[in-house]
Amino acid sequence: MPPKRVRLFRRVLRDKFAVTGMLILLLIAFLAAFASWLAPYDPELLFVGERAEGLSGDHWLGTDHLGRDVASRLIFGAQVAVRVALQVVGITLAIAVPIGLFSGFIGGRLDVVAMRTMDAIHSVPTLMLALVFAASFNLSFNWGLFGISLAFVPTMSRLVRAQTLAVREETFIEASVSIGTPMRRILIKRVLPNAASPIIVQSSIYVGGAILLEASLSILGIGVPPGSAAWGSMLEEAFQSIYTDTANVVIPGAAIAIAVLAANLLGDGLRDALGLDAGHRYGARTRMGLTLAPGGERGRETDATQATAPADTAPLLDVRGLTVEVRTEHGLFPVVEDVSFELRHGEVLGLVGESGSGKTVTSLSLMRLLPSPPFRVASGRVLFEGDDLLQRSIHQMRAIRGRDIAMIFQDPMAALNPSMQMGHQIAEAVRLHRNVRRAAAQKRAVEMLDRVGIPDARARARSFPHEFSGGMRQRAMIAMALSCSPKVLIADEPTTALDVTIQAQILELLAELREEFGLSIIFVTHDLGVVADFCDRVLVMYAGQIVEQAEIHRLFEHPSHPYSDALLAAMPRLTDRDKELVTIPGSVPTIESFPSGCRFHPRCRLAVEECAAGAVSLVEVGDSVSRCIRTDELIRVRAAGPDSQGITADGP
Amino acid sequence: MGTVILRRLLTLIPMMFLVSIGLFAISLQLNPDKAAHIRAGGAENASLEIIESIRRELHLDKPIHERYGRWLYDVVRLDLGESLTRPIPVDTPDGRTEFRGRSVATEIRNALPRTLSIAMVGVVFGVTVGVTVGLIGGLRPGSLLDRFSVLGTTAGIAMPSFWLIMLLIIAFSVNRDWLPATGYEPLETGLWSWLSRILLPGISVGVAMAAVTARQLRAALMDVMGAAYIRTAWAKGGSSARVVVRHALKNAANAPLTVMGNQFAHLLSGTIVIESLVGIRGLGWLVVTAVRSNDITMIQGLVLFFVVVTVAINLIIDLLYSYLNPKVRVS
Repeated sequence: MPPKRVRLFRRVLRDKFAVTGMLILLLIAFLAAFASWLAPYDPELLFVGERAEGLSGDHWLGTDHLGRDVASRLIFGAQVAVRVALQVVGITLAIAVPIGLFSGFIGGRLDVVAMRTMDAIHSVPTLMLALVFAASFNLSFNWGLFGISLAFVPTMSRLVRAQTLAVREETFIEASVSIGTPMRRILIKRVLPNAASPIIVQSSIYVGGAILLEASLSILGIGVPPGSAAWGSMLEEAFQSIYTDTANVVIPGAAIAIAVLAANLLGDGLRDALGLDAGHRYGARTRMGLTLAPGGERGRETDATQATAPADTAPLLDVRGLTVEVRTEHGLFPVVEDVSFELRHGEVLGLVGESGSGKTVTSLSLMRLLPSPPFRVASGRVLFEGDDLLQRSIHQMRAIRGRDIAMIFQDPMAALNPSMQMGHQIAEAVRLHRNVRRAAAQKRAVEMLDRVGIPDARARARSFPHEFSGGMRQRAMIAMALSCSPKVLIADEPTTALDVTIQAQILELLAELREEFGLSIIFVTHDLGVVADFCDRVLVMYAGQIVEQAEIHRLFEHPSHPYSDALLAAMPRLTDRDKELVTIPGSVPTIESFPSGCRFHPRCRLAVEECAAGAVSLVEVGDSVSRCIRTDELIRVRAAGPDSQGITADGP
Repeated sequence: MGTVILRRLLTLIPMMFLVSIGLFAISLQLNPDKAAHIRAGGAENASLEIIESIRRELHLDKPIHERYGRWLYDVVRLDLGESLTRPIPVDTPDGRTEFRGRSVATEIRNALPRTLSIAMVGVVFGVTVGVTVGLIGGLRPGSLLDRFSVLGTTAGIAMPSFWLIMLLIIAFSVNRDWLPATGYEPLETGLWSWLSRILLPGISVGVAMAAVTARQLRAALMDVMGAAYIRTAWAKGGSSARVVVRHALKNAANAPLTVMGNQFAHLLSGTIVIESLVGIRGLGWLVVTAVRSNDITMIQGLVLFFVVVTVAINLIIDLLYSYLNPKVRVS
């Protein structure tokens, strides 16, 4: 066996259900193979004086209504089951595999005819097809089985065809064709091995189906197997005397059910092991390193544009010591740790960090939108207008979501309901918080769509999200978020998935609406360029902690944490085009492996031994707050010259 | 919507053509002697003369393509021919008694309510139990209740309906005298007299549908509940009921719907065995009797009926798809 197969085999063996299924099927095969040795009596032998007797030493599963030993009949019945399974699946494969291969590989008219034929066969209920074949050939057992096989052919051949089509597109097949390898050889050597996995899974499931359908035929007395100690026939005979002897109904039925269950368990287990089920793929997202969007080039040159100082001093939102934990396979880990910040009236607060820094988790936990499990807010307070949101009931929380605090998300295509008209989605938000009629809510939806710059808003309200362009979708998302005039807008990377020009338009729109609605905004992003354009103040997060908090100008001119410094250096700039793009070496640590001491020290160019020694706390540095013991060194290095700014000291 | 229906109907034409050829092929083995015996009211009355006249009447003397054409023409007009067994005596105007076969269409029409009753109980059981169990599992994956439901669906999928009906009969008819084990009473005889006899058969054929639906819905819901637009719905301030019903269910319905369509065909197959076991003279019983006596016209008619029902169900499901997926509607 090639190593790949060995690995798959091991994976199947780890699945306890698959193993159970396999063992049961092997047991049935064993019973069938050695029936003559294993069975205590001849299955047709009549114990005349011992009819319909219960369990005893002589007959450990009792006797049936004619006085035959049930255990012996059950063991011989396994022979029928095994034969049926092998014969049906064998014939199915013999017909379906060539059809699928040729249909997929040759395509064209052959494919059309073959697939329509498969549709036609598929439209006849399975048992019906078996009955028709049995009826057409003097109630023959073999033809009944053939009918079952034929009923299985459409699904199996489509499976093979799909695999063949997928393989055919691959380049190595094209190469084979072009060097003149005969088709038969390509099909057998190249295509078939690739189609093997789904064929095996489906075959396993059809083993169960075949046993079930043959039992149905036996019960109907149509196509009764020669010898007739089949489980189905046993069940049918027992049913005739159900009022006097219930045990004999239970035993053969259980045999059939267990055989079918075993085949299904094996099939499901194989499917999981072979990774064919695309259904549930949960688990950790891949954590990528620093990915700065191309929008960064607008960075430093424009950062002097805005200076709207917040007037009100009492913060609108006050987050204190927020700690969020996540449960993974290896235990409970803090994904956000002791995060504190304020959002003042009318302010735009940037929340910046690489993927995996905890910025999205922070923003979601403010609205209590984190899925629990696996997330859990361990401690902290989220004071909104003086009220702790974390203490509120879910019912009270619902009144705040969308009305006082609204949210927009990164990928509007994913964040909008694909099967609901855009207008209805906005109207829903309105009706959830305002006591208005459907028509009024719909009117508000159209107004909002118009306000965010969607042309022909009345007609577009009836469109579905996929009918909008990316930028228009985000505009619609903003319309929905602002439809109830919230006080706070949390924007989670709202421009990341968009083109640069669209990004600028969306930011412009947000800036306009901020004035108009008197919004306070938490702007989550990894793009410092966007921050520079739009934010008043910035929180820089790294590995679940705030590492620096500063006014926007201060951060850009005098970063007081090496990580902020590195982010700035990594920002592409038009002014120094001839330089190579600077990157931060390494990547954000996963939550399960946060380094000791300063979490950034393994990637930090200024790190010294001390940095790894103990946890570093936030300290005030001038007007900023920073989590670093080497801030003085950073200031010294930065003062030394612009060339040493970069992480990799390889300037010209 | 209209164009969707039209397009789907058009693609059905080549398929139904192939089905008709398959059905017609069954009749190629039609034995004129046998048909003549029935018409004549027994083998002893079937003279060569009568056989010859019947051969002509059934067009057995014509070339195959013409026979196919005539057969198809009849079928399209819903004339499914006459059964070859259990003939009924008919008095001819000239005072003789002639034996005529029963009309296949009439037989099907008479048997239909019984099968429909069972299928209805099965579908109602399958959908309600399937959706409930699927919701429980899909909304709270990993919970104790969910683990039980996974166990239950696994067992339900493997459970043979013919065995289940026997176990139910033991439980409700043999051990306790709660429900009659066999027979059928039409609805006109009273709601309970009707329901009590189709309840067990219906549940037996519905269990597989419930199990498969639950399994699919659970998987689909687990996926959908993690989707970004569900988070958006929460962020709007939607209640659990609203988020699940208005946002999650509609988007999670595709896979469960597909399997429900397939399961309906299986459910009909199930009624074939169940009806024979509990002695309800529905379509399934007709099928088995026809197969046992090689009643070819009856088999043809029944297969055609089952195919049309299966195709119609799948058509309805396709239309539901395009209602649920606006993208499908556009493309």
